[in-house]
Amino acid sequence: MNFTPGLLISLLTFPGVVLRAAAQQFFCRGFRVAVLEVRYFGAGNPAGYVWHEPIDDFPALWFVSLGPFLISTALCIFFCSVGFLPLWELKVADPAGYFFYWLGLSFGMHAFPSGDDLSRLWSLTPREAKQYNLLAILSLPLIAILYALNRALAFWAELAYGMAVGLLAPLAIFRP
Amino acid sequence: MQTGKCETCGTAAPLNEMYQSGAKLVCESCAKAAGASEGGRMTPAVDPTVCSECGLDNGTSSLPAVADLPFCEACRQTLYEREFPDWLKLGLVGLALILAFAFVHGVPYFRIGWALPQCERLINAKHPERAIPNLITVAKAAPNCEKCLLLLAKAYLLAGNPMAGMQVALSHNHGRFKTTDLFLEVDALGGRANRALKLIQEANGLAPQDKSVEALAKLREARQLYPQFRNWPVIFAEFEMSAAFDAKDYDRLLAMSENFWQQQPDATSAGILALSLACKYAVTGDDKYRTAAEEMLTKGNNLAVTEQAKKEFADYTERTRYRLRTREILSKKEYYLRFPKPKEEHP
Repeated sequence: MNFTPGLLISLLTFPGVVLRAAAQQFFCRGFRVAVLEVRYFGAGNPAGYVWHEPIDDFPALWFVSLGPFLISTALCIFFCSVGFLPLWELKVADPAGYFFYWLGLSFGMHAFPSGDDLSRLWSLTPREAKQYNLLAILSLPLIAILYALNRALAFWAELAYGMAVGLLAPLAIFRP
Repeated sequence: MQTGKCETCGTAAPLNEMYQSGAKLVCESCAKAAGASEGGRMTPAVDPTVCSECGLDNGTSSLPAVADLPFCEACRQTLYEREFPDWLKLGLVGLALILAFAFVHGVPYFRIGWALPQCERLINAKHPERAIPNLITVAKAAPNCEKCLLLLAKAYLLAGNPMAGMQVALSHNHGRFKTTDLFLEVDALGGRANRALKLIQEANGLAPQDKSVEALAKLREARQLYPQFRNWPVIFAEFEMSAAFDAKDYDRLLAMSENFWQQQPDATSAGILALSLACKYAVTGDDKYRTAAEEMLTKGNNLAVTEQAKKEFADYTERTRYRLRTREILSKKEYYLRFPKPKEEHP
């Protein structure tokens, strides 16, 4: 087995890999999107994935791509906040705080949608926005940022996003 | 099942056992040979009549395709309703449990996390006394949080309770903190409060030496240094009343005591007014002063809620009753020289 930094990081943050795949499968099922193959975790790149049929329906594509992203982000903020307050803000030696921080960062570091889904979403969103699709209009800036980050940083965008959300969101919430 | 003919060697074989390179169809053995030379760019050919999942042969009819792959009805259904494996279901239950535990575990921290900025806002909005109860809770939960302790010390200092503020600051690492803006602010505030307390002590030392003017100047300087001190009304009132008492000007003493009671109706001002009324009774023998003094003792007794206030008020009561009983006016110092306080017993 070739231990690349990506694989090592995926191993250390496996709950995030599993959660993203499970959440994506969940949304595929919810929107009747055929899933041809699922890998929840494995020694490859990507470590986990959901191979689904091409999606043309915008809401379905939106939820299948961004649903896992939002769930992972929300869990990242929650767990990192539970860890941040005792460890950083209140200086309480709380072992559970370290566990929650690890869990939160794991979710955050694998929250990013896959490059293929983002590309597909990015190609559909402007057209939908022009047709006054509220979901497309509201999420266009987010999709643009995610798409640009994904193109610019590829794998490292995920890590940077996870670290940023996990560390900065609790700061923003509890140190206004 | 469909069959195909290898475009390299001409062999016929089932289509789903053949390979494609672009539009070219080849058999397995030719694919292996060509794969090596073409860098392995061979993909398995797809037979639209054979299910990609279970291998069901649909004869000559093509099966419906999902993502360009043929699937029979049963397999196609499983693609749309793919089950989660049991271990994943268990994992998700575990995650839900961890989430619940984190929530329960985090609630006290969240409360503190929300309370801290609110306390800061209260302090900045000049309501430090309202921030103190929350900050006490925070400091108990996070005794090593320097920010929390400094905020509590600052709130105490700004609320005019310097002793409590200094006690909080000294309780942490012998008063040593990391140098932050908040620390510098509390340090400066504490320093001013400390200098003011020393000046009050000096003024108290000057008062009995008939140096009231110098003592008053020191008190004013102290008040300028630390205007937040909550005892200023009492200190100034007591100082001026003490001057009137020393001058045996009981009318002025009574007027000031009544004024003090009007401004700050608590056990202390009630006790001082009772003593002043007792002075008037002592010099005039007029029962109306005696009755008024007794009324003030009753009022003060009702206002003394805390243990400390009750203890202090008992002292006022004892001296007032002595004055009413004997019509002899003794200063506090004279009274306790004659009737020393019993030493407190410690368990």
